[in-house]
Amino acid sequence: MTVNRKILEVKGLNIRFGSPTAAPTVEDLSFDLRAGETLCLVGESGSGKSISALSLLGLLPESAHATADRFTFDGVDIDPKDRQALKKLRGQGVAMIFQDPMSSLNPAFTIGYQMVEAIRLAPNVSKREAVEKAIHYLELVRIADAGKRMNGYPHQLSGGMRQRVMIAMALSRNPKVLIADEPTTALDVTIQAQILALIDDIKTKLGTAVLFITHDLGVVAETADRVAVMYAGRMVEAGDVTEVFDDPRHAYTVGLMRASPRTAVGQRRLNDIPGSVPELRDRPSGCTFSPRCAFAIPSCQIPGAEKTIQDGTHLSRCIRGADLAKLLGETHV
Amino acid sequence: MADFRKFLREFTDGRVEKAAVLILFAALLISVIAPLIYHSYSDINPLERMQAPSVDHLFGTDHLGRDVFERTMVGTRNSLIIGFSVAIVTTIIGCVLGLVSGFISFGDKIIMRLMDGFMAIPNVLLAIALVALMGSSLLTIIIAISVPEIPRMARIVRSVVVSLKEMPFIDAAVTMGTPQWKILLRHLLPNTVGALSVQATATCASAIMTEAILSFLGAGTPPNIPSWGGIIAESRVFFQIAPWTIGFPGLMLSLLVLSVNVLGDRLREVLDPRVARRRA
Repeated sequence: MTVNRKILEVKGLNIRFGSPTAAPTVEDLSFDLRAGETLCLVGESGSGKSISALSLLGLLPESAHATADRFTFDGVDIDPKDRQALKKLRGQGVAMIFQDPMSSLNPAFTIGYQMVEAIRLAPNVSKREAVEKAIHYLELVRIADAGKRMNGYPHQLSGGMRQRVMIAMALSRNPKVLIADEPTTALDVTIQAQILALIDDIKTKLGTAVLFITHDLGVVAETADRVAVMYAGRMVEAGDVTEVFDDPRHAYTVGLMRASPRTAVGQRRLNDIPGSVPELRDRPSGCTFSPRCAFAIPSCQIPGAEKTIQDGTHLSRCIRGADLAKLLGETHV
Repeated sequence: MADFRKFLREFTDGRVEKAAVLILFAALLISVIAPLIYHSYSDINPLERMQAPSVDHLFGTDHLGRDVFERTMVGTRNSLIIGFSVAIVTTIIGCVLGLVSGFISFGDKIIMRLMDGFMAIPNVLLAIALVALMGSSLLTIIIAISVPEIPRMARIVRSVVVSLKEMPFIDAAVTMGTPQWKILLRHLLPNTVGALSVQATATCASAIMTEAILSFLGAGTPPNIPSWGGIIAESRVFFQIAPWTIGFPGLMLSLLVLSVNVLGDRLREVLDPRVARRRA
């Protein structure tokens, strides 16, 4: 795998709500995003994946405080507190597509009008250029008869087509990073596969870096180059998709895989993870997952047990990570 | 153009709606032409007092021998001007206030409490007070009727904006770097049109009624301008002897208000994409 240019580099991102000294909702999050690469952020609801993505766009609510040891976009340092600087990234630097394509388009205007409006947010684009560009991008996302579809209203399109339009609109200003916040959750399975293939295709064609947020490990397996698993505001495991799937180093990742029909191969039943993500104020010391973990030992609760252990490109925050494979062999599923 | 024709076809679909459109057009036409051709509507003719409707006097004559038909026709202009002016004034002011308070949370509390205050003023009392203060004129009446209607409009727009603001397409626009004013004008305002137009027609109808009430109470337009409410008020004493004097202007009033209401309902159906799709 060729190593591409780093587009986004985040080190030690902390997001706190309320006051700058409050307990962090997202804690010490670090990741890189390279051109033409898909990084999947995986985790349960409330693990902090969407909040982390929104912080990249400066779209956190006013009560949120984001700090980072290092935050660079395309080689330029940016202060994550500086909302004005982040605002400039929107559209051209970072674009976003959303979960629900049914309500992500304004029902009052035609597709073409909305596309042209989005494209013309960039300075010095004539209307004609914008129309041509809109058609070009609609064709890129494989919308048949793009010129004619331009005159259609959102309610005349199916869910999958609307999501394609959203992708076309997001791409129309050549963003370097595309954030996809569960873009296939609201679509049925066949359409989901088409959209995933489309995003993959665009990534290779345009060299866009994709930050893909999902809770579906099946989707991760299909689309990711690298995975970051999040739990209770921390990245608990990260690495290349093959590393993480073949040799999970965190008990939470194992739990997620056993709970998903597409990754729980060889199991007769799906296993759930008992309990739920702890509330912010109830997070245990040490490893936050330890209360729900089948492999927890007393030293998991000691502060410091959550330290990141690095093995090449494979990161995990589990002191038993190296032994997990052996432990898994012993337990009978 | 094709869109407009389609809109027109959907808008006038149905007998009742066609009739309503015709009545409204007729009223518009009358309000333009009547004052040009009828000049003797104020002429007193004691010899022809309280005559029943005939070929000479279609709606009969009142207790001063004035032609009720001429007076009613000329009065149409008054009712329409007030109805439309109030609708336009309340729509513009209410819309601006509603957009601002719904979108910018800072202004929300202040504007809404102010609106609550305005809403508490009974329009008839305000009109009487204003007429006493500023003298009776069209402008006074329009202001007096508009003031208590503005908060209703503002509230409706605000509620639509507050719920629209949470829609993903607004988030999507923000992530694309759309400036705030553009979100307000391009994304929020057009989606309030349905609710706006319905409220505007309702306001128009109620303003016509309120003007009639004010004229009836003697706080309406000055006596030299005939108005439907005024005609009814002057003739109410003679109702049992000459029912036509109040019957005809009353009928006109009912027909106009009914038409405006019918068209307001239809407008909602045509503009609301969900209802429109069901009809398609």
